[in-house]
Amino acid sequence: MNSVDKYILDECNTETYSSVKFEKDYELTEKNSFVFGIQRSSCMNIIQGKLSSEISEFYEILEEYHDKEKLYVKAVNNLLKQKEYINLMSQYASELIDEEELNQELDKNEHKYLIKINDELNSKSFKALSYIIGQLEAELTDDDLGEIFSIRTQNFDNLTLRPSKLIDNERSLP
Amino acid sequence: MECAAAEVISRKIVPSSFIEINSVGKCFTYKCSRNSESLILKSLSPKEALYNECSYLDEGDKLECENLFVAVNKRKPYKFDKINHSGRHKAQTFTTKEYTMAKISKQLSSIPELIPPKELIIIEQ
Repeated sequence: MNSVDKYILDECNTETYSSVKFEKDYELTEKNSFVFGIQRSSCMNIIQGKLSSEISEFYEILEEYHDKEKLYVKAVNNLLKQKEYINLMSQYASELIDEEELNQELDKNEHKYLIKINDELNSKSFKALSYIIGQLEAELTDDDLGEIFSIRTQNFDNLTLRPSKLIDNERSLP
Repeated sequence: MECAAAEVISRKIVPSSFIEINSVGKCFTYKCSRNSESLILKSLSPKEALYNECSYLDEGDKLECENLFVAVNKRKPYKFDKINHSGRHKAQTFTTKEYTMAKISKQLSSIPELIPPKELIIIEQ
């Protein structure tokens, strides 16, 4: 059963900022329990309760969509960076810019070109990644995955499942 | 393989991206395809792998494959030279003088897979 506590907002609240002091501590002691606050015109309702199994499953589905969305955005950002980098290299190869200008551009606007490969691949992100790879037309290697999704690639055998459309043969010599 | 200097030869080499790997640093990457090879000219000092625990590290170690992924820890992009490599085809080549990591993306199709497979153990940092 959900409980609802009402708090009057401080007088200094604005349209984008509200301040409230809680009169008690809110504890989350069970699985699928929640606490969230909803601001109404001059007060805030703090609702505490436990998700039913149906709602909990629905919430897990929302979480999966959220994970996929994060991967999509990461992929688009990294592909744009790759495109900018290749444009820059093309200018350098065509001698439109010299080495000094190239280095200056990389120093000044590193964020436009640098892809950080530092995300870990856990079972949750692996599931979302497998789904996304399955929708793509292209075949990808481990290095493609690292560059597109910023994932530190591992031996996929460790994760039991292997994403479809991933080019086999990743067990070759390093 | 990982080394301090390498020679890379392939029928097709294209620059790929500018990446940052935690254990290595910022690298320019290249994708080599259509019959590629890389040869260690100079070992790392100290001779310790930075990226993959199972990397080959000795001078003279060579990778031959269909597709190769190369990452070089240097800010200057390399220009590729053209050489005669086989009786029928020319090839592109470049020689690195900085930390180089090369990884087989796709091995030659006629060679059976290694049993047991060679592991790729990424070094965590």
